[in-house]
Amino acid sequence: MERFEMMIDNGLVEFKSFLGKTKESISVLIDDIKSNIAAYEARIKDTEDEISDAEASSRTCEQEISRLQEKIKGLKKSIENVEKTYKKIVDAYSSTSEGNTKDIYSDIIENARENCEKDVEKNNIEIENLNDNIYGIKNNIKEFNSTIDRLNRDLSEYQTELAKYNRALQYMQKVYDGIIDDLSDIESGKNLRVKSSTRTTTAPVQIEQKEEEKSQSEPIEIEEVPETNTKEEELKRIYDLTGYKPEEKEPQSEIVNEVEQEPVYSGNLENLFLNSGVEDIKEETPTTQQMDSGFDENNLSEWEQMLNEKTITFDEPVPPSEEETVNQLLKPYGTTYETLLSLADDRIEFKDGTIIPVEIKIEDVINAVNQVDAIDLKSMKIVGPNTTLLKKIKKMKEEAM
Amino acid sequence: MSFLYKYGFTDEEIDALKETLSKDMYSEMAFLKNIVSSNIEYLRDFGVTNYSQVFVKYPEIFMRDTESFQNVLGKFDKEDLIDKVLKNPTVIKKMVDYVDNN
Repeated sequence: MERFEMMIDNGLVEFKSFLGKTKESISVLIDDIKSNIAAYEARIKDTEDEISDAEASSRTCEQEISRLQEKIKGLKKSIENVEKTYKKIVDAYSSTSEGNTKDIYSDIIENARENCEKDVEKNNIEIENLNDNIYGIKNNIKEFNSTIDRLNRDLSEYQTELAKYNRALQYMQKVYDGIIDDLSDIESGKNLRVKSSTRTTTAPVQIEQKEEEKSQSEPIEIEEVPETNTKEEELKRIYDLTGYKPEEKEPQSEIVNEVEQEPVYSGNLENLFLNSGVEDIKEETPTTQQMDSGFDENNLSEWEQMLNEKTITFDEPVPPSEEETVNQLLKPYGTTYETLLSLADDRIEFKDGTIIPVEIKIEDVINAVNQVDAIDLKSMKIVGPNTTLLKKIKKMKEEAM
Repeated sequence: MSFLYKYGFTDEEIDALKETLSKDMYSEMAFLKNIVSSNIEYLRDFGVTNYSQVFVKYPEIFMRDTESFQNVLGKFDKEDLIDKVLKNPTVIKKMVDYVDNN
């Protein structure tokens, strides 16, 4: 709503008419928004159902793959048995047969060998077919997964749009309620509150009805609302006021080939040595009192002793402790050695029940920090530095075992 | 995984979880149990009553710094999130993936 200056009589009528029209437009807009919201909610529901179906299909395919792989195992075992049988026959033949017996057995063995080969051939063909089926099913799973990803992207877009429509609806309701109040105020002849803008506080303007005060009232200009405002133009005005823009944008997939390697240690190595604790060199000089004590030969030896005495002392620079060093290295990641210790367990427990005690030493943390790479930096942005570093330390410990 | 009992997980849920987890993830989860515990507590205190279902289905989302976990949940309307996750735990996984990828 913009600020108005009104001529009292005609202006009031026209303002009332304007408010009436605005009320109609806004109630139409509210209905539109509500129906859009309902449509989005329905699409969200459908998308969620599709996601569940795709996931169920994907699981079924995986179960089918397991079943086929079991079958392949069985067939390979059959092939092994057949080959073993053939070998036994050959061994029996070589150890027992000679002369005429050899001729009799040779036919039997030849037939057995051919049968074995046929069986092996048949089993190999079946294995090949099963592998093709598995390959096909894996492709299906891949397609289901990409469908699921696409649906997830759609779902998040719908949810974003839904949130925006909800905000617009809230705003529209507020404006509508304000207009209703204004209309009822006008009809009851109360003081009219003219709003300067939707986002600023209002300044009440009293409109005097008495003739003698007419001259004192400020002339008010009326903003003529064109009667031919279309619904779209009204909607655009509301959008401009709320700052809402119903744009469609493609989901941007993050392509991470390389993460910019930030200079992890920039400035920190310098900081390591800032508090090296080198103190000023102290030098004792003879005091004034001593200087003024007067010179005589008896004091000469004292003077010589004083002047020759080495009173300059150098304090050894205090090296930083190991914990201070590692905390300096961890500072860019926003964590400390103590924090890492508190978050990790003191053992690694494996799925087969094996438990290995583990102690996170300072050198483990230093090694892990020194081996932080681009993938680790990306991981830190998502799951946090503590989890990333602890996973790295765990992996290094396991490799060292 | 015995630390899960104190959050009300049943034997069946823990067995189902063991089936889901790979060898590496299992040992990682056990090693990072303090972080995981902290996140389970946060989700429970946030008001998600079916947190155990969420955990068994998507244990990987609990393996992140608590600050990151709170940051993800904080991006959504609380009442809406609790209501949606109660109806379908899959929603929380979608929300986490949405925040991670944007």
